[in-house]
Amino acid sequence: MAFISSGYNPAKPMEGRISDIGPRKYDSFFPEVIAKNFGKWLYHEILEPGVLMHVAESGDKVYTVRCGGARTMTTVHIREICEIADKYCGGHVRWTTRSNVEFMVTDLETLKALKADLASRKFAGGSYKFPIGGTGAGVTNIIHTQGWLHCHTPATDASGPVKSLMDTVFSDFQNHRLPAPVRISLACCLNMCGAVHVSDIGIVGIHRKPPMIDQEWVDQLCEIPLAVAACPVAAVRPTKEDFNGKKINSVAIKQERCMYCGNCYTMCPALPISDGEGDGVIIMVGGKISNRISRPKFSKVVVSYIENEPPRWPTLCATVKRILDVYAENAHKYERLGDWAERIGWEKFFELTDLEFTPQLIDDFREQAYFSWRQSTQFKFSELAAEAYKGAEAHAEAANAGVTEEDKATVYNWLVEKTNKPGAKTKFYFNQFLELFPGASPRKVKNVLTALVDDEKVAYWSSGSTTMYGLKGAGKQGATEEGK
Amino acid sequence: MAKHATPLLDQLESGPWPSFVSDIKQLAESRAKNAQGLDYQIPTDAPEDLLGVMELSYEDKETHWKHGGIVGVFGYGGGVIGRYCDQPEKFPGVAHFHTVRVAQPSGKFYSTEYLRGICDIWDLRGSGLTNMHGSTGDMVLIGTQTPQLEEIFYELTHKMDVDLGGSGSNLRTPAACMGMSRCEYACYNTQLACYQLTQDYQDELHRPAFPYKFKFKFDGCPNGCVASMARSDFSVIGTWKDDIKIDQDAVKEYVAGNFAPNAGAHSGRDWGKFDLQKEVIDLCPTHCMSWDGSKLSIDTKNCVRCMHCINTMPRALHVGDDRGASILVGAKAPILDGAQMGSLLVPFIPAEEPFDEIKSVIEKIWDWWMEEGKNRERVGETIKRLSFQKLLEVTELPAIPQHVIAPRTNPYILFKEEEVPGGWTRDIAAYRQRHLR
Repeated sequence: MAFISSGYNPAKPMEGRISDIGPRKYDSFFPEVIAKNFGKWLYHEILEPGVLMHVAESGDKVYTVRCGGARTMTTVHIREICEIADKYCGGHVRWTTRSNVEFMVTDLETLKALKADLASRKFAGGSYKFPIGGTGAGVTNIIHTQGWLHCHTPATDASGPVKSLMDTVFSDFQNHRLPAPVRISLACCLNMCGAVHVSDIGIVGIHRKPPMIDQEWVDQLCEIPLAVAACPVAAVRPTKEDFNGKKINSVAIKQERCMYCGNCYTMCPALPISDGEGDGVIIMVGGKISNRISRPKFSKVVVSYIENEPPRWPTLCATVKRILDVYAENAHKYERLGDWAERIGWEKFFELTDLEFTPQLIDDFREQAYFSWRQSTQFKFSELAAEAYKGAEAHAEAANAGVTEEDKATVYNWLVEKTNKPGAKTKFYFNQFLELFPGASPRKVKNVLTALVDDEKVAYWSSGSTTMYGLKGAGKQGATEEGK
Repeated sequence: MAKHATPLLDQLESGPWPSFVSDIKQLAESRAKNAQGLDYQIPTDAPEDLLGVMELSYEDKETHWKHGGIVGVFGYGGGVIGRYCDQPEKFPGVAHFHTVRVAQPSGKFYSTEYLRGICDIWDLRGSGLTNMHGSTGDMVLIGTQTPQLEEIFYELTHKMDVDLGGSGSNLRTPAACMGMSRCEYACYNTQLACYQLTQDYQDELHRPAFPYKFKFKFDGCPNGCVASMARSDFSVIGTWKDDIKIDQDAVKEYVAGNFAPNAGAHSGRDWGKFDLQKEVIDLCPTHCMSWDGSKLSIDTKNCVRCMHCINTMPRALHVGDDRGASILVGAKAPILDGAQMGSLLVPFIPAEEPFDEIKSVIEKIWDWWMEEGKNRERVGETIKRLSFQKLLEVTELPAIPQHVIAPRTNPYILFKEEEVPGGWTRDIAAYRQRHLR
């Protein structure tokens, strides 16, 4: 290989440099019919799945054939797209936000030939190159991320699960049988490079193990402060470690705080996170972006873990297919998946889809968790709900156990010792007395205190809202109130 | 004969959906054949080594890519992402495999001449693998080596008249829906707004000085096809103030069953005869519509512009003529504080060239966030930390009921000292005159 210069001179990088020019202007790429009718479109109709007709005020019509495609695409494939666009579309083509390819023509005859041509093209392995579909109340292309193809923090692959899922739901890519559009997205880790959190069905790769610390390399590969700063939950802190008899700069990780995002690994290659048996995916459902009928809403986690099963992720695919089919069968016309789940109630969603409700599905992240719990007596019964309560065995005898003189002495002597220290506290919360009786029922400890109050050795102090215990007569306010 | 056996990946070649594995294989074959006699500037067998390293990931269920790096082009802080393989000896063709983000045209229309120009550069100087497109919107060129970066940039700017996109703590490549180019719902020219602001903020895009990333996206109507409200810090969504335009004759055609409801989107199943009352009037979220059997009426004052009636009868109903946009701010993915959607900041703003009104809001937010935002804090999180009131203050907007779903339920109101007569400095001696200890 001989290096071929573009004309760039490394010795003088600013010589002839062009920068800050941005993208090409969009209208320089318009087909004639688009340029002519820009802003003057009247209405549209989906003639069949994957084929749209837009009608302009001028009476002009443009027919669009939408084709699915892997977003990971080679120049060989792009050149084939160009060849088709040259043949039928005057040298123009467009991509959608969801990585579909759109070919536009202006007459029905060309449309017919274009459709036949697109449908006939297959890869050597047998898959379609340009499957027509992705419109209306069906499934369109899956938005996704890089995965094992090109990312450093993925917990799953992206292209592989997406290919497998699209094969599984392919008939719905080419049909309009669903109650409303279903948008599926996949992100290969929590960082979610894509709007997975607001999808009808979102697949998210998750790690389940905190990063390892490669002590041999950490001091050589990492700028420790950057790795510390990279952690969004402050689980990483700098520390010194002994390694092979040498003091080295390293990090310590608070494992129970880690949420496995991999941001520290981005900054520090000595903190690898991926793990074949720990990693996998979750499924989130019911999100929507459109403001149509109901407001936009977030997706909710309905499957807390599925292991990675390359090359075809069969459990994931079967689960998504089941959710899709149950939704198709039960939702009303125009009802998005999340609107349907909310109308019937999430308890009914789990019953109909036969998905297991696990403890991990109850939110426990910060204050917003509370708002997803049920502050209502309104719920629908299921077998589990009817039987969740297991009986009264827990009502302990220990609570009513007798109070001995020894118990009282333990409390009294402790109080005297605490109170008599100069400048010490004189009032104590109930839970401080629990420590004097390790393992005992709190209700028993209460009985000890009640007995001491009855003996006039201990008194209550109350602010009106909070009550504390102290030796009778002790403390500054005690003196004031008793007029001393 | 393939360089590496890939029995697992080979199973992704069957089935109807386009196979990326088959596509990469045809690329490998094309490079090996080299019909054009190119002097490939990175290893010819890069696609084969890519399949090889991916097969390895399919075996052990772990990625084999490492971290980013300081690669880039002179003077730019973004646009190139370094990527290195952790098995460089087994897969030398992808040992260094950097990403180049290329700014996409708004709405993603292309000419084949342009696409072939990009392909020519990328075949010679890169792996030939792309994403059409990345999640933010760029055309993503996957896989090249450091010495090629300046050459690629030089050819992109000199031959193709196009620039790199954003990455890192800067303005990310803005994106728009297709807008007026082929959609009757577009309430403003999303493509022009996107293009104009991208041009005006080139410095912010290429030279990072923000606490973290910042994204603009432009949706033409509340249907939100580019998902601006879910994934952009600053979301501009088309809307209108006046009446939805009604063609009463066309409404009757829908009622009579002569026009396909919802533009034919439900054609795959027999949902029965179109029922205007049940499918439109009763589903209107504010019940502001009525139908007396011959005339459809909409009470504009109670309409929230959800688009349902327009989507359902696109030949009969059209967005109004007094158009502009709503601005929502603060959307982001879950890291860290949980996912956020954009919150309504400006109910209505003119969205006409040169977009000075929109720019004035953006710049006020930047001035505040660049000073107050913590490192790696998205503006949505800054707003949560410092309050929506603070955002209103810095953007000089009055508080209005439209900003909330409901007023606060807690009484922990933080008044400013100047809002309370007499301020907060008080005289304890005077107090004791009135109250004995």
